Amino acid sequence: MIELKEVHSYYGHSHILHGVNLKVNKGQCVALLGRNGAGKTTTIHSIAGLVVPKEGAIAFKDKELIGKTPNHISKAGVGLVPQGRRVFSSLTVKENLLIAERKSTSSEKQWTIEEIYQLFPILKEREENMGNELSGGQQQMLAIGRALLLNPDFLLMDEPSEGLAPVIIEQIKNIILDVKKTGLSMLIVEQNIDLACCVADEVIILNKGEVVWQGLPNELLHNEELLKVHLGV
Amino acid sequence: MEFFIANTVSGLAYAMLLFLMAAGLSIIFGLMKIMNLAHGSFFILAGYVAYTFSRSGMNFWLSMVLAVIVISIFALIIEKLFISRVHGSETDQVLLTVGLVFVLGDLALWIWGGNFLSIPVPAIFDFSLDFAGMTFPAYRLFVIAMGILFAFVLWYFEAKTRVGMIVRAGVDDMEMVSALGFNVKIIFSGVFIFGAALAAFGGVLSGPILGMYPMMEWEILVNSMIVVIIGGLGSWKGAFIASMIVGFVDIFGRIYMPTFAMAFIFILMVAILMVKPTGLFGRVES
Repeated sequence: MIELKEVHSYYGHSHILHGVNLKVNKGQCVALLGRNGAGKTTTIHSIAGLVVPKEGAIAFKDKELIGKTPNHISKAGVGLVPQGRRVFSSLTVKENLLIAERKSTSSEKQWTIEEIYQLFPILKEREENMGNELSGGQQQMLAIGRALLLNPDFLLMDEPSEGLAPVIIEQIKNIILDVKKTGLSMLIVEQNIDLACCVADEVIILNKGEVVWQGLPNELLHNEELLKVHLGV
Repeated sequence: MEFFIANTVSGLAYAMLLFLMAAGLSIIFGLMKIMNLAHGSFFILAGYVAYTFSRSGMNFWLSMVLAVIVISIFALIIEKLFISRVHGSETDQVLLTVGLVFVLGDLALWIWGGNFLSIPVPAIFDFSLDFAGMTFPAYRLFVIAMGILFAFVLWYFEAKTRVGMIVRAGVDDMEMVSALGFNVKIIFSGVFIFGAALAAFGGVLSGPILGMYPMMEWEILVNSMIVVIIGGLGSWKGAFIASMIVGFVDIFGRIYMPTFAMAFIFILMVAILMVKPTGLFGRVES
């Protein structure tokens, strides 16, 4: 589905990613973990085209993504749930969904607004509210719904549990598992190890812009030294 | 009372011209984060171009349409050649667009000379309306009607169309709009041309009232920027309300205390910013 090979990305003169290699297969859910500043969001941004890597290759469905603009990457089938939700505050909940609604020729599952409302009934109740009038959890649901309506083949999620109460995190976790059942490939950046290990088929740990470990969620949860050294747990 | 009402009509007509100019300036800034100081040049150049067409025998309406088209194409060229290169750098934007004002001003001086020029009032509105013992120039009433009509058009465009929805989203977060699959370059060019066309329309409409003369672009730009600041950056609704405030203060200031007319506008701006630093309809950037 998607493969990053020796990706080097920068913010200005700061070298953030030092040759990241990772692969997500079709229908697979991979979690990307690491401490603050490890390069997780930069990896997501590099795939989405929000940061242009200076070296390396990102192959998505056998096509190179580096050099493509974010709109081209989105149309190629990559959806993004960004860090901090970034819902449009000047748009109503319904408009936030309508703006993203798009048919896909390649995606197996075709999401509609009604299906998003079934997945998140609260969004239907609040469809006339402005984006900034929602709680953090509702905004996260809106951001996920908006990305699903792009009907992507591959979904990037950047810290979906950030700043949310435990009960809401549980809801978000169940939603991710529901979405996963549709066969959508996902790369999830998370600080919440329990959530990441619950939803992911495979876990990758980044440290200082490099992949330092890759394995199964259970292997990570039982490796105390790994948890302590790279994730500070 | 008659004096007050007659000048209210003049103030409203001036306010609508300011609105057409400031709305484009505000939308361009809100979406593209470009402070286009050459926006006043589009306004006056449209007046000059329409003047040339009308002198060649075309009627007012055809001259207006052609002038708006010419300025829109010109704005597209300016956006593609220059503006697109200075995104994200305010200093470069100011230096570039101030430079453009000087170049375009000299170009206008070279082509149309330094005398005051005016476009004749279209025949259909070349009369006055008598009402309650007062006389109102029909053309000024037409300009007011056009301003209100365009405010409605902008409202409809923004609130009821998909393009308007994308523009609103873009003002919030252009990068995210791009990540949803929309081509930012096309949106930027479209909004820049739309803003320039609004200014051009205002420039032609103002031809029979304000005329055209050297350095006029600076005068209209300063008042429009005050309108944009008072109304709130990126808000056409703010531009509409603020243009009326500035229009009235300007007209009545010139009548009662002409020496301080400009000072009144600045005092008003400072007073509003002290109460609401983002302007009347402006929002705090997240």
